[in-house]
Amino acid sequence: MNCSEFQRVLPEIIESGGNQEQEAHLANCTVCSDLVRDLRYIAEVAKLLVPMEDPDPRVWDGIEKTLEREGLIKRKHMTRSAGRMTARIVMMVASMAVLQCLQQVLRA
Amino acid sequence: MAAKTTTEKVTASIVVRTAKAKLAPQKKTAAPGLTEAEAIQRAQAGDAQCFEILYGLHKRRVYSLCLRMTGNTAEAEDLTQEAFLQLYRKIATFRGESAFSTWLHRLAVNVVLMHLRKKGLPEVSLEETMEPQQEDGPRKDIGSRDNVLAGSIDRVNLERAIESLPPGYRIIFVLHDVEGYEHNEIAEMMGCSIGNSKSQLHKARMKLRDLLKITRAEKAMRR
Ligand SMILES: [Zn+2]
Repeated sequence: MNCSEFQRVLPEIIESGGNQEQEAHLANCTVCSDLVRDLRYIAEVAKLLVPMEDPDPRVWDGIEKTLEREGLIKRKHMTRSAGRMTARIVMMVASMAVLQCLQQVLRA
Repeated sequence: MAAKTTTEKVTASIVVRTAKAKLAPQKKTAAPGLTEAEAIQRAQAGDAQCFEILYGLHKRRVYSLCLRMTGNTAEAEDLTQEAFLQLYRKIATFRGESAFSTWLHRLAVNVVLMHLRKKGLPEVSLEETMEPQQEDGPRKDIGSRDNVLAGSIDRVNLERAIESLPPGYRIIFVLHDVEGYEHNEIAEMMGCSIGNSKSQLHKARMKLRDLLKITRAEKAMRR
């Protein structure tokens, strides 16, 4: 087996290993063993690549807008205004209670 | 003897896929007092805040995948957005047979592939790369011992080299070597044969080897 023949079958055998003849060529040929070592090294470094970058905040803004438009989530300003409404009701109830207390005190 | 068999033999060490660990289910904490599983359940019930929590947990990985596969920031942002939108539209159908991250990731890969298919890029470059090229011949030119790459690549160099790969090579390389997909999975996603996936990956690694050697030579010249 020569280098050409070995390298032609390399894509098929690089992960599963070769037959006796292919392994013998590899053991005795520095050109092919260097090549195999490099390819294996590249694959190993690639495995160590981790996600490094976060997307720009505008990506979430776009998602949120589309979700709102499609009705999958409620509009933020709706929930905000609902919150404001709740706060107003609480204030009104509280002030009415205070007024009632004052009236009772005045009557007494 | 043992050292010789581990370094010289073309064997399974390349198959040990630590990249798969990136896909392994993890017990994540989504927010104080909320696990990822709970966030998924609440998102399935339409809890908007949990959508955002899930986005926060997975945005980096999905975006990195899109960026590495396309090599373009604007496209990667659009595709990240599209992947998460599809996720939220389909989240009610997630039954937990596979890990959530695996499910989301596969969805993101499909979004990117669909986009690239629409652009017509991979087909062109797959054909291009199928043509016999000079690299099909034996690599006698780079046979000297001090020429091996071992130990000389850093993350930045490799990221740059991947970026400059032709799209067809880049997609297969990212899916297999970076993301840890198997050839049968890639063949299914790309609609090609397993043999084609293997030969594309091989050519991608060969191209990267050349690119990395050029980078190293340029660095040496500058010194
Ligand atoms: Zn050889």
